[in-house]
Amino acid sequence: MKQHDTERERFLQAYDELSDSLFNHCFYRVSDREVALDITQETFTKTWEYMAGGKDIGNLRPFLFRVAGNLIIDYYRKKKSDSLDALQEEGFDVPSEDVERIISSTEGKNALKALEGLDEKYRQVIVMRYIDELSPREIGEIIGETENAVSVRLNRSIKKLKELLNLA
Amino acid sequence: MKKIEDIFNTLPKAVMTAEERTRIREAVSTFIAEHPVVSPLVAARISPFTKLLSLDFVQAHAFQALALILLVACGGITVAAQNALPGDPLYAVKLNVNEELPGLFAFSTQAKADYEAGLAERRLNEVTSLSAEGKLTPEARTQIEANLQAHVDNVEKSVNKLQSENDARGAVEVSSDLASTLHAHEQVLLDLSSRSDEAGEVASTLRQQLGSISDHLTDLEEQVAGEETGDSEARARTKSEQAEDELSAAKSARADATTSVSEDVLDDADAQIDHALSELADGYTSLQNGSFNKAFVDFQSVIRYSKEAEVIIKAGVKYDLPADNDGDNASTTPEEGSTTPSEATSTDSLGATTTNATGTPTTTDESASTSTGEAGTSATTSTSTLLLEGSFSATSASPMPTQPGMLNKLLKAAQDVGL
Repeated sequence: MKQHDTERERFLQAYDELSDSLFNHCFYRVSDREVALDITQETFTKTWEYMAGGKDIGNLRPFLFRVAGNLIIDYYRKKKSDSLDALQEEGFDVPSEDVERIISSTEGKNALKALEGLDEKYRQVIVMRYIDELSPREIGEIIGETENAVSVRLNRSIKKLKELLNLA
Repeated sequence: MKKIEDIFNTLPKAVMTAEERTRIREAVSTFIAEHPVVSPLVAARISPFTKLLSLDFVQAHAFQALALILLVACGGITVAAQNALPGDPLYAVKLNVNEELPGLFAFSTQAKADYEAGLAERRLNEVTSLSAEGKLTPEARTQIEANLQAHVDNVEKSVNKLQSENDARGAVEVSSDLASTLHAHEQVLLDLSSRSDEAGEVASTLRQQLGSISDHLTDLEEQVAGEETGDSEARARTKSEQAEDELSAAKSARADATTSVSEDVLDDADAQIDHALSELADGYTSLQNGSFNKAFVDFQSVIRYSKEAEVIIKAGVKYDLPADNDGDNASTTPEEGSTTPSEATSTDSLGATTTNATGTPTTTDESASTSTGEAGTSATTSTSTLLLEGSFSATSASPMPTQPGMLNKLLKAAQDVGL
């Protein structure tokens, strides 16, 4: 029991330290506050479930980002299968209320709009690099790619993003 | 030209409000409390011999290792407890040890729901067994009903969770299974109400529970039928195969029981089989029309009615229904003797066998005549398998002593070896 309590305290301490940056990451991946909150919570519970099962997770921070990344992919899969039509009708032109409220500058809104127009795998590395400010090596550790592969993907993502922002 | 970095630098950080941060923290904290660390068990599963025997492992996990050894050593008791009924000394062991452990391994929402539904079914089997033997006291009924309600509530929670996770089909499956279990046992208990007033009481409780579950299930079915997704056809076709399997199992149970149960039981079962057949026809029509999710719901209904028919028939065989008010009736062996106890209770998804009023499994006779040491060994092996493999069915595959005298023997054996 004592061990459980210690583990619990350590984990909650990790929550206090990492929940903000994880939420920020989720928000810029899904553009929806409520969904980002749900994914943040589920990331921590899933991670605990994994740890409680006795599995070694190594460094907690990249592990949390990896779990969140999987949940985000699940979220998009579900969203896609649930309402492909609705998504096509709405397109990416209508920024959600959350985005309107949080981002005031036109440039910022455009940046997010462009981000939403990117494929998920490109959006992932752009958010990690420029929102989470992770190095390509750290990104590689999270998504299970080499540093080199991450750099290549980042370059492609930037190119696409520039096209979307008419900066190319 | 502006660099991408500069553009993203203008984006503000998305932050949680203090309230949101606290709310999630509390949710995580509650989750942790509900999911204690079970590392030694799982670590052992990965490599049972090297890890368990390593000195480092034992030193690092001394407490858990001790707990594990105790649990394995207590295998005899936990196996004996499998069949305990309210009023038996081992009933608390059954609820708090035997049934709690598998729950640790149910991770997904659907797995948790199935686990809880299995426990609900166990409580119903207990009530049925006690009623058939005329031993259902008001106290035992209250105790079982309270536990049953808790399991039903937990299943409902999981159903809501599945719904909120956009898995309406999963929600329908879970809810439909629960409805069929409750409805089938309601029928059986109504038949038993002549042997036990308490059985009639439980039947009316079940009726109430069914009311709200059925309403919710109808809503869910409408929701599923109204939405078509990419994998709808495949899911509907898989469901049709399951439906055919369940229906043929019900039909064959019905055919086997023709001479061994009363007309009333056969009529009840036939009514369910008729429902199932009509839903099956609806399902295929929906498939042809391309309404795949409607077909899914129809086939799920086939499964529900078929399972109900099966439970009714098997209970009819096992308890010689309907009762003729002869108190001794419940303890006599059915003339046919063709249905073994394990078959009679095979619908219990947790693999439980309830105390059997009609006979003793042949497998038990052997272990009963062997030395207590051997009985202990067999019990220990099966429980350690349960712990190491995380598999609940491991225990159900082991010989199950079903007579109270056997429980006492095993208990005594455990005491003799110092447990």
